[in-house]
Amino acid sequence: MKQIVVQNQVRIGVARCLALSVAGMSHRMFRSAVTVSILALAMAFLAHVLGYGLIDHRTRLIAYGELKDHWLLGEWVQRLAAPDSEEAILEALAEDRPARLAEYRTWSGAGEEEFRQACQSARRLAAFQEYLGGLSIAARTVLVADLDVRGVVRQLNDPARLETFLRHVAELKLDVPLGGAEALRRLAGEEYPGLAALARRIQVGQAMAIRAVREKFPGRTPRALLATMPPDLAEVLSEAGFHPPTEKLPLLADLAQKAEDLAKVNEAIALPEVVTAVARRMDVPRTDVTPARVMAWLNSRERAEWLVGALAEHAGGVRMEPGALRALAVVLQQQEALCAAVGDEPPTEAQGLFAVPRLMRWLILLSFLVCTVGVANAMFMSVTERFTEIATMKCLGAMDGFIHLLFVFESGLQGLVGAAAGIVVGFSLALVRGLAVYGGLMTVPVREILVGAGACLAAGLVLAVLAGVGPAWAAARLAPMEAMRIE
Amino acid sequence: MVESKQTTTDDGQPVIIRTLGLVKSYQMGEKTTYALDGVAIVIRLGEFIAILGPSGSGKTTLFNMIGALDSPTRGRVLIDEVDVAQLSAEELAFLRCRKIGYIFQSYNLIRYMTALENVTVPMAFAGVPTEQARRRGMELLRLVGLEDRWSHRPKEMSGGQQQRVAIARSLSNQPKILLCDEPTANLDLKTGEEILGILQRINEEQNATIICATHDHRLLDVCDRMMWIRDGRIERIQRREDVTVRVGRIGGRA
Repeated sequence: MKQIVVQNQVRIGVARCLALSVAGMSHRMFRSAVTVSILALAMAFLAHVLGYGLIDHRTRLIAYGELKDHWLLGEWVQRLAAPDSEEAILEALAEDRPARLAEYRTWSGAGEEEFRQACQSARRLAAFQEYLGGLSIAARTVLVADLDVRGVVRQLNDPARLETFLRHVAELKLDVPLGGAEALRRLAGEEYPGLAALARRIQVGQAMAIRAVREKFPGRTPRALLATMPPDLAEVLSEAGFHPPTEKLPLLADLAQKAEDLAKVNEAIALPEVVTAVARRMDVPRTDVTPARVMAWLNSRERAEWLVGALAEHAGGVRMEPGALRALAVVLQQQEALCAAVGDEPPTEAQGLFAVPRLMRWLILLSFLVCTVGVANAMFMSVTERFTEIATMKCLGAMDGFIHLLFVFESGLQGLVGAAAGIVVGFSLALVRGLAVYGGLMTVPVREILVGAGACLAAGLVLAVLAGVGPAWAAARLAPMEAMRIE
Repeated sequence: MVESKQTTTDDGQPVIIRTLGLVKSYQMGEKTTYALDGVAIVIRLGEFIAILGPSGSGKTTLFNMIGALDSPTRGRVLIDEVDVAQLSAEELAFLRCRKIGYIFQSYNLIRYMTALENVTVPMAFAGVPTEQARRRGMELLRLVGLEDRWSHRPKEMSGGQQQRVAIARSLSNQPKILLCDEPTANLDLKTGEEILGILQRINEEQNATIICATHDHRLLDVCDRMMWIRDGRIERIQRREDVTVRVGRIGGRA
């Protein structure tokens, strides 16, 4: 009779394995904490860079959008005061802006085909301008001196000058612009004069349109007109041939009103009596009392109240609530902040990690590498420390897969905890930095940040598991007879 | 699995472990060291065997071979006529889990587990439901007289108590073979005797085959047979009855 029948060992459940892993870790709290903090550090770095990149991008994008509204107001105030310049018209003709092109077509009275060809000519002119812009300074000096594209084209209308220009181009070993001398000759000889004539017609048409609008609303400056925004303004503008941005009109009205108020206040502040009073109050020389300085100084309700009082006393015409005055000062500061936030370049489409500078990306990669090595080292230590325990477990019937899983779980769990901690720290830092840089303007893209946090968490987990696989393998391969060794 | 026909000794008792021409050698540069050099032993079911020998004699190596912890260079180990070398990793794990109980010199309890948890580990590996495992674990702790210390961790127990927990653990899956590696070496005289008493009781009550590697001469009073190993060979095998007569020689040789 056989006493022993050998079968395959049963496989142990994942949950049980996880529980054992957690029990093992809690026994070695200190080592686990070290591993977790290594991971947390690397993850905090990543999360900070990512989070700040996202916040920075979104904030600048929104600030840019708001600035564009301010620019739009300026543009319309100008366009309702005087016709567009020839330069602006030629530029607009080369671009694809339907509203503007429709206005110009109406004012020029040109037929569809004529207008279409004019647009093409304008595009060729723009291409020529781009060609000139791409030249080196030396080549530019030789070819066009300090003339702008229109000046150059005007000169090239003279065949002798064109000859010289082409000779210089050949001597400088440059490409002939517009793909050939013939095209250039046509641009200078026929197309540009045609364009200039068209631009003049447009200007005349626009001047008439402006007059029509003025007659309808006599005695109001364009800004005041936009600020008061009569209900039939859009209609009148359309009749005159303008294509106003209908959905932006309420916003423009608001901005124009603020600009009007500001102009009034600025005017009042410039009065000699007010300047004297303000200089005394601010304790600065009279010459330093400029509207911008006064508005910047206006940072409390108490000062605003004082200024309102001063204005009422010395410049009877200006009556304003202190709150409104404060609001104006705030708007002004915000505009400055917007300009500062947007910086020299408008924000690009790239965001988050993709907007991270190359050097930073290398740093992140490096920190990951160091982190992986650190975690792998900690895991190897953990394995070495537990030699006897692992071997004993194998003597008691543990299979390689179980031991393997035990350690992968360990590093994976540590990875999760470390990554989570790092993400919280990193994003908090990013938030603090964003607040420090942008203040109240900061906009937090919550969804993107959550996605970023998820990605960081996954990265941490993958990193930790990768670092844990080697040590886990070493542990699983341990011979059970190691248990016999005496410590 | 290779089975041979011989499952009993000549006198009709069932055989549990047989080794055939066991050789274990280690290649150290040019030189080959033989830890075991042709060991052939037969152990019957329910026997209490003491393996004796000076350190470096190959005692531990033989022990590891019998316990399916190490594979021989040449020769075979048959546990209940099953060739250990032919078993897969899963089958080996099964064998270690349920058929062999291990007791170590340094107890090797898992440090972060309570006594009861330690005892139930092999049952977890064997797939015994948790509740059932706990019940049996408490029974085993009662058997070694530690039922009231089930919630203590190894750190909070004396060496003797730890070894008793280790014995309880080794018995958890009712093994047929109990391998003890110097079970009393780290214990004082009195606790050592207690441990031996427990082992003897297990041997008698559960008919488990106990194989002890030891230096402890008190074990000789308990065991059925003793095997003396020297330089990787079995020097002699004696029955206890014979040894009591020659007790003087043991001291003389040491």
